[in-house]
Amino acid sequence: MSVSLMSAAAVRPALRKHIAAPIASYVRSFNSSATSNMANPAPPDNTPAKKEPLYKTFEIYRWNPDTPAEKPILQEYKVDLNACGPMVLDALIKIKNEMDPTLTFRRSCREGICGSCAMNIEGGNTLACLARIDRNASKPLKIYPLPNMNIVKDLVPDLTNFYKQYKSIEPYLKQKTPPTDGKENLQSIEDRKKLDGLYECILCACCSTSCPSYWWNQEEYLGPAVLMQAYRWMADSRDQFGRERRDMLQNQYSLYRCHTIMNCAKTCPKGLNPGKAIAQIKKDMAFD
Amino acid sequence: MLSTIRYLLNCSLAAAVSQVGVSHTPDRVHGSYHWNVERAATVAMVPLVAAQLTVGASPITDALLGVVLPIHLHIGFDACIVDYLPARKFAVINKLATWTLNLATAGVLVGCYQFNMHDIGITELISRAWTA
Repeated sequence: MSVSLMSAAAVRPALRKHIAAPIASYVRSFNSSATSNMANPAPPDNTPAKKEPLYKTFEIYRWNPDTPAEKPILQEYKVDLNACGPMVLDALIKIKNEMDPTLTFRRSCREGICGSCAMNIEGGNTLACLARIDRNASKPLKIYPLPNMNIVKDLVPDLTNFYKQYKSIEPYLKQKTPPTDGKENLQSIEDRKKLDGLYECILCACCSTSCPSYWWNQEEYLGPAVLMQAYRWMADSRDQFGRERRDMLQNQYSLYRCHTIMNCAKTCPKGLNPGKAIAQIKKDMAFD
Repeated sequence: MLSTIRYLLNCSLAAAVSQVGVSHTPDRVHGSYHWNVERAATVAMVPLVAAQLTVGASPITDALLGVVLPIHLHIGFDACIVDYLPARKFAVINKLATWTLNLATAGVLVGCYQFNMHDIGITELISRAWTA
């Protein structure tokens, strides 16, 4: 048995060379369907038909810190939408690559997960990578930085205070009695569900900078994004400092400058509702 | 070793937190208590106004409204001062506006009391003004 197997193995490479190859070429030449049913391959020189260029005007806020005395301007760029991706960020990148390398903006993931490209597009705060370009070329598309923020350059706002506020709410798990086995923080499925709609926030600052209360009092009012994250940790069943977290908000400004204007929920590019989270905090604090 | 690291971490966090614009000491009077009173006054207005519309003038609704309405208005105007004239930016104007409001509210409270006790009362005033 073993002898015959060995001999077969020894013969097989030779078989493949001399017999299998002609069979394969014979099979390939045999077609079971009519050639008329098959897709016609394009002739080698036939490139896809070029679309007529569709030029849309982009009016973009420009301010250069090197010439601080000059007032900010709206600079116009004409972009061929038929040679550009569908999103506003695609157009911005095209402008920067092909027309004006001095145009400055933040971008990273180009798929709405990093929050870098938050800006004011056609009057609303959103992520440039998630905002489709309106293909009506008769209307210019206006792009400004996030409103009521200090500007570093062009479309880049200074988010230092925003990040400091986020740090101030201690956005991490705090416990008085760690789990007894010293390993895991267990959580029921129901408790985990309480964090849905909160943890998805990417801190793009669209909501906070759309809030009039935040415009007037951002030195003291924490704003919707940070307050929703504050609630994210209050709502977490594994966190044991909910009361202390709420006590930090017991003053005129940090929380209670929210007047439920709800611009935050309207503008959130991730579809979250910071206004609801703030209302929850207020309700919890009323019964503390 | 671990405690040292924890201590250093706490120090750096404390430093970071203290850098935030303005820090406040917890103060429920300006926090949740204030909010509770604001909501209570707002909610209390609903049955009071409903009673005005259905029952008409009554010394009880007039007396209650003479307290709840000025409180409701006071909190509303006070929010305007806190929002638009914060002490942080307008130290003098903020004080001036706050005390003007306090005096005005006190005056309105006394006025409502006098008007309800010695005159036709709030509900009757509104109904007469309505038909005038």
